[in-house]
Amino acid sequence: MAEFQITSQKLPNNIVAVSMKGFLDAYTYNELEQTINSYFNQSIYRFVVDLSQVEYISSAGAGVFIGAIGVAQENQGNIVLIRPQPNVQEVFDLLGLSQIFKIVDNMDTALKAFKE
Amino acid sequence: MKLKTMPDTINERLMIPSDLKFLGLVRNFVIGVLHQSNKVAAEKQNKIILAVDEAVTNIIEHGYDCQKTGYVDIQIVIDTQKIQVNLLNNGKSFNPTAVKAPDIIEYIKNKRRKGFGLFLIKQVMDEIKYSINNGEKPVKSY
Repeated sequence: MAEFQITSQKLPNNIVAVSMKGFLDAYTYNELEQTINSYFNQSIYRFVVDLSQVEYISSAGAGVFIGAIGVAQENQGNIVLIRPQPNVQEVFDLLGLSQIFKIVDNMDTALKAFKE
Repeated sequence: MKLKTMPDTINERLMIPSDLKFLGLVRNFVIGVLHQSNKVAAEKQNKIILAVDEAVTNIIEHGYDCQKTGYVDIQIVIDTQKIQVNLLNNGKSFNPTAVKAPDIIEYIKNKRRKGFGLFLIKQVMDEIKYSINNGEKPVKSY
């Protein structure tokens, strides 16, 4: 089985749902970065990212979100994260990202974050 | 019946080529050694796995500039007092004390996404030692 898998889907209101599975590290982060950049190139800046099946994240993986949220917010978008596992949440906490990213429990709440 | 007891000291070693594709193997090695020791609390295990992953990544990306011709020799020693991880390599030397803690807000403003590895290592490990042996082999101990 591949170490990392990513899928994405356009939703109404110019929102993209990204779902990942596996290990997000310095070897695999590029796939996430390419996916996000491909939507930036389509002028789409609103993302809901399901982290519930991400088993591990290192700073390289978290760095993709750090690099992307500035671009998203400058273009009236945002990146909302759904249900990170405790060890993934811990890395976000250690980097001080839990105060910067909206982290929610489910897709409905994530989508509502774009209506606020 | 004689019960099998854990040794007081565990000393395990893994050598990998300087290729990021082996990071998963490195993490599995660390997990295996930590489980073998049965002395490390679950909440600390992720921190140790993270620190080793970040350090090996730094060695490959900065010490070897991602050239796959080098090696990283990972040694983990666990005894009743400490867990020590030695990362031997012959990549370029580097001074970890010269690296400043990243300002996340500045990183976001400037769309920077790299430079958090050493910061994370310092957050989760008690001590970092760095030395150059025989003028050619930097050693990182955590």
